[in-house]
Parts: sequence; C-alpha cells; structure tokens
Amino acid sequence: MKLRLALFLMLLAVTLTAQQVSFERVLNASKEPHNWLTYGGTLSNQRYSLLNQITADNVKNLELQWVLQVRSMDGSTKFEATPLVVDGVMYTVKPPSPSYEVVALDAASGRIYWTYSYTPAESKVCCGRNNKGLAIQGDRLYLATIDTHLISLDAKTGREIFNIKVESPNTGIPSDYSFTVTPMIVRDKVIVGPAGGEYGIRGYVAAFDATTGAERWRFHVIPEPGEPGNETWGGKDSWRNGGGSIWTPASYDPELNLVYWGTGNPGPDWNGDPRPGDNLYSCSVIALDADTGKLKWHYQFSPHDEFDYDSTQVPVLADIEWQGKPRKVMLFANRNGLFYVLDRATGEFLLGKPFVKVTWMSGFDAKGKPIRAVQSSTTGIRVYPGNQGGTNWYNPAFNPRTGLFYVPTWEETSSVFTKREQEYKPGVNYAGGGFTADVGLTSTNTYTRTEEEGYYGAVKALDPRTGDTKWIFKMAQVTDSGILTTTTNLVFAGGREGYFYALDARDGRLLWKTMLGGQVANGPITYAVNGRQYVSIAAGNGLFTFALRQ
Amino acid sequence: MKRLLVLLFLLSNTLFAQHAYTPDEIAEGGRLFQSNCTGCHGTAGDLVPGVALMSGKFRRATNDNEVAGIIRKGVPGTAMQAFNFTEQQTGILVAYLKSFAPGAVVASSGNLPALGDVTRGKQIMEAKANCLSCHRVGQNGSRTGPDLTGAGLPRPPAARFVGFVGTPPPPPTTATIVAQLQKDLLDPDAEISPNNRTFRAVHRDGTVTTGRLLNLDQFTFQLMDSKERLLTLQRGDLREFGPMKSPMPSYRDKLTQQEISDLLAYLVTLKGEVR
Repeated sequence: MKLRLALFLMLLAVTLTAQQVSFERVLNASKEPHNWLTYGGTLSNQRYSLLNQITADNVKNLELQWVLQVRSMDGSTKFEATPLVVDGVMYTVKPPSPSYEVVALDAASGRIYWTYSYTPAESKVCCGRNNKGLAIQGDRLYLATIDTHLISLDAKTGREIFNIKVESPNTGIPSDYSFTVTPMIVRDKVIVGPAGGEYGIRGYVAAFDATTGAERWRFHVIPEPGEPGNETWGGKDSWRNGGGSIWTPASYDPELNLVYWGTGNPGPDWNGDPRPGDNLYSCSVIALDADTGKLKWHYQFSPHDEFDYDSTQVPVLADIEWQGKPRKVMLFANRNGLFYVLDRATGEFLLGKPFVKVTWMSGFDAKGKPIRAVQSSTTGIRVYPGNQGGTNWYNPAFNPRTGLFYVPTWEETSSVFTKREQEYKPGVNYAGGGFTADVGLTSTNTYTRTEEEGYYGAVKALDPRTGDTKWIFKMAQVTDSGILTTTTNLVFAGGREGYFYALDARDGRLLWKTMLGGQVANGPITYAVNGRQYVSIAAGNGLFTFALRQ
Repeated sequence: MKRLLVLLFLLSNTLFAQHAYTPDEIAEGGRLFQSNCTGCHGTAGDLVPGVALMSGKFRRATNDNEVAGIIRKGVPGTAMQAFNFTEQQTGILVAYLKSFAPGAVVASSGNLPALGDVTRGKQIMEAKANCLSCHRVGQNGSRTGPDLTGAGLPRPPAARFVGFVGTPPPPPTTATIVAQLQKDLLDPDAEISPNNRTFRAVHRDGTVTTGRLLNLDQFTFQLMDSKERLLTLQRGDLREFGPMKSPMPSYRDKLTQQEISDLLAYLVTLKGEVR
C-alpha cells in the first residue's frame, strides 16, 4: 500500500512538474537529476550528475540506443550544442549549416516530435557556424543565432513566439557580430552576448525580457570614454574595436545574484601596439548583477593579450574547503594555460597555477596580476601554450564527491606568433598578424603527430585546493570534447579521434570506450526516462545516446 | 553620364519592384513555376533544405529584384541554374511565389461569402464556439488543435508534388481563404492536413490515448495528447492504433448563419505568422 501511494505521489509529482520549467526548478536542478535543464546541468556548470544506475562496475555494458543525424555541416562547423532534457523530451539544435533546426524528440527513442527551422542572414564567423545550445524557461525555448537574432519558441509545438534582431554597436557592419552562445536565463531575463573578436567588434552582454524580447540592460565589455576601464585603452579610439566577445555559456550564483561570463580576446588579436594598456575587460571574467547588468567585480586573466587567449571558458562554481574554511569559489581553467581559483563573491585571486606548459608569464605580483614574460614581435616568437590554448571553450567538470576538477587539455602545444600593422576596416578580419598552427583547428581524417613530438590531448584531474594534477588520461590527438562526471565516480569525455570514453573519476583508469567515427565537440550529458539512465554525446554529424544493455 | 545610368538603374528597379500584376499574370507565373521550378523545389516550394520559396523570405535576397536576379543568374556552386526568362516572366514568377507569403496582398476577386462583424466574431470564438479549448491564437488557447494565429493567411499548397506536370495551385484570393475557413467550420473532416490528424491508441490493458499525430516509424508513434504532453507510444504495447474522426464538431447546426459570418469575419483578420 505504501509503495502504491509512493508511486502515485511520484506520478502526480511528475505530471505536475511536466508542465513548466520554472526558474525555481532550474535553480534546484540537482534535485531532479533525471532532467538536464541547462548547458552545464545546473547554473553552477559543474556538469555533475547524481544519477547512479551507470557505475564503474557496469559501464562496460553501455550500448547504443539511438542516433540523431545532422543533415549537413560545412567544413569548419561542429555539432557543439548541449541538449536539454525535460521530463522525457529532449531539445537540441543543429548548427546553421545553412539552417538551424531545433528539434524536440523522445529522449528514450530519439524520435522527433517537432522541428523548427530558421535560416539566418549571412554572417561572418571566424571558426564555423557553431551553436552551443538552447535555454528553456516556462514552456519556452530560447535560441541565439549567428545573425544576432534572439528567438523564443513554444516548447510544446516549436512555434515561434518572437524573433528579434539584436542591435550591436556601430563599429563595423552588422554581420561582424554573431551569437553562438547558449542564452543564460535569470528569472524574467534572457542574457546573451556576441562573438566576433576577429572582426573588430565591441563586445557586450545584454539582457532581454523573456516574455516580450524587449531589451532590459546592456553591459559594454569594452568601456567607452567616461566609463571605468576605458583608461586601459591607449591609442586613438582603440576601444571602439576592442573585441571582448562572448561565446561560451555563463554561470549564476543565486545567493549573490551574480552572473559570470568569460570574455574574449582584445582586437586586433596578435598586435597590441594600437591598444596600449591592460585592455579591460577583455580576457577576463566579469561578475554582473543579474537585475541591472552592473559590474560587481572582474578579474583579468591575460592583460594586454597578444596570443588570442580568450577567457571564454565555462566558469565552474563550487563550494569547497579553502585553507580550512568553507568558501564560495570559482574554478577556471583558462585558455592561457593556467588554472585559477577565485572568490566568487569578491573576485579575490586565491590561486593561479599552470596546468600545461606555459611560457608567456613568469608568475604573479602581490595582487594576482600575471607578470608577462614575452612580447609579440614582427619576426615571430614561440609561446606556450599555442594559439588554441591549454584548453578552450569545451566545458570542464567538477565532482564534489572526488573533490577533483576535470579539464580537457592540449599538452605541449605552442605557436609562433607574429604581429603586423593593420588598419580596422568594417567587414574585414581584424587580427593584426598570425600564428603557426602545428595541428589543424578542426579535425581531419588522419593524424600522424606522436606524443613525443608534442601536441596531444588529455583529460586532467586537478585538485582545486592546490592546482596539482592528480591524474592524466592521454589521447593521441588533441581534444575539443567537454566532460561529464557522476556521483558513481565516472568521467565521460571524447576527443578528435572519435572515441568516447568512460574513465574512473578517482584515478583516470579507462573503463569503456566506443568509436563514433567523428570529432567529439560538445559536452556529454546524462538523464533518465522511466527509470533508465542514458548518456548522450555528439560526434561528427550525429548525437549518440547510450544506456545499459537490458 | 555615370550618375544618369545609376539613376536610370535605380528608377528601373523601383518601377520593377512596384509593378502590380493582374491575377491572370500571376496565374501565368504559376504556370512558369510549375514547368520550371517544381522539379527541384516541389509544388509547395519547400523541398530544398533551407529554402521555402513561398514563405516570402529568402536567404540570399532581400527584395523582389534580388530574387529575380537569382532566377536569371542562378547561384554558382549550387544546383540552382540560370533561367533565360524575360523581365516580365521573372516578375510574374516572383509575384506568384509572393502571393502565398504571409502579408501578401491577395486579390479579392471571386465569389466572396458575406462576412459579418469582426468584434462579434471574436466573442463567438472565445465564448459560444469555444474554439480556444482546442485551438491557439497567439499565446492564448490550447495547442492540441491546429494553431489559428495565421488563420487568415494564404495557405501554401498542400501537395508536395515534384515534377513538371499537372496544374499549378492557383494564387490564393480572399475568396479562396474565406471559402476554406468556411469549409473547415462546417465540414471539419473534409480536408485535414496530415499534420493535424487525431489518432486513437488502445493499449493492451484497454486504456485509451488520443492525440494529434506528430510523427511515426516502424516501431513507435509520437503524439501530443489532450493534456499537451509529448508522448511516444511503442506499437508493440498497443492493441489498436489509427486515425479517428476529427474531434472538431461541425458548426453548421451549432451557430446561426449570422454567427458563422461573424466568426469568418474575425478568422480572416488573423494574420499572425506561425513559424
């Protein structure tokens, strides 16, 4: 009788909660681990799941359940979207190559309920027509597009509710700006920002009314004269094309009401001469009041960057013991090759330590500002890590149970950076030089560089209290895969080779692998439908979903 | 001289863009479409991924002149070839495509049924006829039936025929739109889009699920049920599954002639784009 009552109450709860994804549900996403409600699973972006059906003992019995194929993608575009799962329905978006296709599908079988298609206007993108995924609130989905539209869809039917063009500063032509980011939703606002750091944009973060699409606030990543931080932009009007793009998802702390974004490189990328100074708030993490967009604090990882070290990594929020006391921190593995721990209430610098070979800096001053060791030159200079960084946009993960922070890394990578003079022209790549790339920026069918020759990928487990590496799982090729970790001591990750791995979160031991035949370029998720746990990962042109053999 | 040429060019573009074609000319544009375009694009103009010729929106063109330019010059590197049409032919072909687009100014020729009062029609829709218990207009009403936000817009051709035979669907007019809505009200089972069919499933334990069929394959069915839930049913779990009569009643005996006219008057004003 008790069992029946419990089952009835459970079903009732499922039925009641199946209606709307309230912001309260998203805030408490860890209490419904069968769903995946945001990019990182929760707004802290730990990408950590409490589902416990798949364990280190049985993960070897994972079996493919279904595949969703993307119709077509051009050469540099990757399937980067993290899907969402709400009560048995999965939502994801295929990259705009040429059209976006948002789909709602049965998360257990992969069969499609509806499809929404949008063909964006022409837009300049440096590195593929990519998209990181959707956001959901209430019964609406939100999509930010490469022609800087913000689109709201009815999650039940795929019908468009609004489709607004977001205006950008008039520093170039409109197509220099593009949205590739997952929108961040905080209560009644949808928050986005533009990519385009290679085209002389002036970055911003802007919030829109989730019901109407009306703009509510805007924060300029590159401050204008009269705003604090503009004094870090020497040269004539260099701030106008200062870059500071936004192209990876944000994190949110509800107690502090702060939304955290990593910001992109300054413009021009590889020549800092036209912009003397630190170039705030490029290559930084910014903490904005979610209601007003006002800057609460910032930390700049790479002042006056000349090596394209975008700080567009996913900030991971964790409550850990720090020097014997509990502390609300942010864990940040940066493209510049250093792992950071910051106090997320104040921005105080707590720790910075290389997690890969680093030569661009030699240490920190008393305030936590890096001491620059090399300058860009017109004849070329080799710098570690290389242009693609020690890590990049692919998400890390934090497992409170093991206490470890898992980072996808590029090991032993370097580039020779060369600067050149370049005048800003709207619509023209505004990079100010170039770099050598010892491996391609996207996957190819063959790869012949051995570990001894440098350039290989890895999953690294870091102890956030010290920055020390606890274990490393090496891959022959570099990786663009995000990481998922679970309460059952599992780590899931992939790589360019096309393998998808399950590792033991405690020691990095390989527990299971499968070959998916295409580059993994998104982060895995896990969810459950009718009591069965699934794991999904995109590779090449497909989204692959696994569960234990029955 | 160069300025004069530019001026003449702009003037000709303006004249071209503003050219109003007669219904007969637009119908001739339909015949050109049928005999030249449907081999790749299909009769509904939506068979090439990312291209919806009758949506009024084009990825590579922002106005009629640019659409005409694509038709005459083709798109290098794609299967879209150049067509050797005159300016008049290109113009009526573009006009035909646009006649199906949201916001199209449709001709009012034909036998238009008498239309009643729009305000009364809205009240009837929301109260006596109770349309919103199944249908949705904007953000109001149920999602279980077809969305009526754009009920007054031209409907794209239902058939997705590929090839160069047959008669092209005629350009819509106000009369054809109203006649279609009237038919929907009086005889709802007569013409139901495959996307709007209601199916009934009997499970092995005898329980019944009904809903709008969204998708199916060899092993499963996808439905939206009466509670707006997205469901997947396994064929193996079902005793029966098949289409049922439309749950929409005929309003022939439920509304007076005047009320139907009022309701039609309101429905034809609903021109919100449903994407």
